[in-house]
Amino acid sequence: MSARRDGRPVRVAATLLGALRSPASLRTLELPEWEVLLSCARRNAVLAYLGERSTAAGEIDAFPPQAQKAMRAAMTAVGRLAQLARWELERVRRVLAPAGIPVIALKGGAYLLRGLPHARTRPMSDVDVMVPHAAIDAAEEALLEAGWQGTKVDAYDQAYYRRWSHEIPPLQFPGRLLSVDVHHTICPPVSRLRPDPERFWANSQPSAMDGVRLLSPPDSVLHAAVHLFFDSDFDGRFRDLVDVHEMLEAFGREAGFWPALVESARLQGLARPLYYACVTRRTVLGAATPDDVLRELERNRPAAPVDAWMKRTLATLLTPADPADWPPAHRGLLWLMYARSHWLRMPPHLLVPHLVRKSFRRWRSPSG
Amino acid sequence: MTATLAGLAPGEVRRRMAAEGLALRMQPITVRVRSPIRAFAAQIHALYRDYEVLDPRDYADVDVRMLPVPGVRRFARPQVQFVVDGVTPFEGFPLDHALPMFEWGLNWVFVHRMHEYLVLHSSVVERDGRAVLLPAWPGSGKSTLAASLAVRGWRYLSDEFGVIATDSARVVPFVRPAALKNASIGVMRAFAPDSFIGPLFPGTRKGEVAHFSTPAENVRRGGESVDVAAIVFPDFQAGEAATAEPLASSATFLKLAGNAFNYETVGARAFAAVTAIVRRATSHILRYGDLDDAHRALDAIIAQGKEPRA
Repeated sequence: MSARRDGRPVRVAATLLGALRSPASLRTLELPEWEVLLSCARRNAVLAYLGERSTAAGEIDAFPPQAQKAMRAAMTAVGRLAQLARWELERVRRVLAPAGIPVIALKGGAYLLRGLPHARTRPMSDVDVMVPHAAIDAAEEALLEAGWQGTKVDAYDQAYYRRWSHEIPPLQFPGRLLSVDVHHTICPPVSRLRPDPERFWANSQPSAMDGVRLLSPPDSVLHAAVHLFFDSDFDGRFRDLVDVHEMLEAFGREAGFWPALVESARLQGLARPLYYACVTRRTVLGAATPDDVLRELERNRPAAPVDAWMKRTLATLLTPADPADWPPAHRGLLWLMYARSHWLRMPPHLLVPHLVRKSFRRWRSPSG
Repeated sequence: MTATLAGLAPGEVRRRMAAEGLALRMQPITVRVRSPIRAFAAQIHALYRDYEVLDPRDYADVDVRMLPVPGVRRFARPQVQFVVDGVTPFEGFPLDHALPMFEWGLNWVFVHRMHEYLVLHSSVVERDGRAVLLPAWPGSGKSTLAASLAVRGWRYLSDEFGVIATDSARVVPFVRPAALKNASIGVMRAFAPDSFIGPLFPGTRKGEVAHFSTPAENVRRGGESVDVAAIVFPDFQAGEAATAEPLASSATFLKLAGNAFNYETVGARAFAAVTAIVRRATSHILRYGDLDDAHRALDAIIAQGKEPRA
């Protein structure tokens, strides 16, 4: 993990992690190192986040003008996305509320409505909402009626989403930047994780936006943890680790949060992803989880060799990627984790035909 | 005296591009470009010959790598990738289209990053300290018109971007080669046989493309910002005589704001900048079928000032 310029090794991932913990550590950086650091922050979608942290720490004005400009421009860009995300959520609510369909905002949109400090620093390409399983067809119909359009035209993709996924194909309103992902639960229905969506609804809370609800703090952490460790694409996921981290930082200060988190994880069968989240957060970001919580979660770790391999692999893949690495480093590991995610979400007799079809299509497409 | 790319030997340009990168000042930004592709290095050398070369250790705002795509396909259909910050925002191009891909990719990076400026989709030229914005949509002829003005004594500030400093509402040069497309290439060759036009790239997404490189003086003056005196919306109509139709401030505001790449992102600063420009500058739609004819109409437009507002 080093970018070399001028014969000098720069451990850029370590510099970035140090800067996120303490922006003052950047005071000693020389301009060529800044160039690599800013590039690394962009690669991992945390430049605006670094800018906000540097601003909050009162450090940004001491940085070289080039760095200040780059950070402020990144903050301006994500600020606009945050505005669009709120607006798109509001538009979705306007359509679904009259139809009597309740809505929970997930991920980026939810962080914004909750006013989490890192919410305005996240690049976003879509807004995610959850509706009750029984209402998903009605929700899709209502949104299509109101002008959104389906984006997956391929018949196989359509069928895949509808049969095996926990969401419908993304909807896009023509001319707008952000698409809408409508979910009916947080895990694919065929996966081995089977949290009960009813419980998420029962725990959900009202938000600042009338008619849009939020997952409870423990449930939103569990959702982020599930996505972090059970999605198929592990490239560039440091940003998602930051999401989990920031939530644990913010919610962890509230009395009763940690016991509620452990209890919810146990009830919903999501202790394993939460365990991975806490362990990786410690190894990559150096952030500690209370001892008693960690001990409780450790009871859910896999068999020792698997545990060791997963810990090492997750730490490697969730460390900020080095912009000097293209094609992305650790392609073998990325492929193994891709295969693993599918193993976890589909039974083998479905998985094999799916992967064969995917790789055949990938091989035929010009971009690879 | 600054060192320009023309002063480097071809071998040194190739060596730098294949190693630590060739760092160029393209005001208002600095760009590092790296690539092992020799033909691409030669094209950069020719097209950017008047640009200042920076020390490889100097800071670059943008670090672009043009890399051959690895894998089995490199034998059958070799491709090139535009890599910035270790990511590839686009699908690969054929290997011999590295230059047009670099130009488009750099433009893409510029509009996604430079939110300290309001970035209009516009060519910009200037005479006697009076800048003319030529905002337009593809096919309206702005690139050809701007390139033709550049070879007839106008100062050329930009082909693609009206870069506006939001504090002063002045236009900042972003002097880059103009991407001429299809029929425009022949038109420019006929109009200015001595001008430098780079190699022809047939069959790109936008058809045939060749790059027009502006007179060196424009690159040297890349740090001089200018007040906007006129906004002229070009509308090429084959065979028509040039006519300039004045456009009301309100309509100009909407057309200008609507044609910016980052108006909403920049927000209140963008509103203030567009307001200042529209108050200060005249505004016309220029219909034309012939370049010389269009030049005469522009001379007339720039000679008349904006009437003071009541």
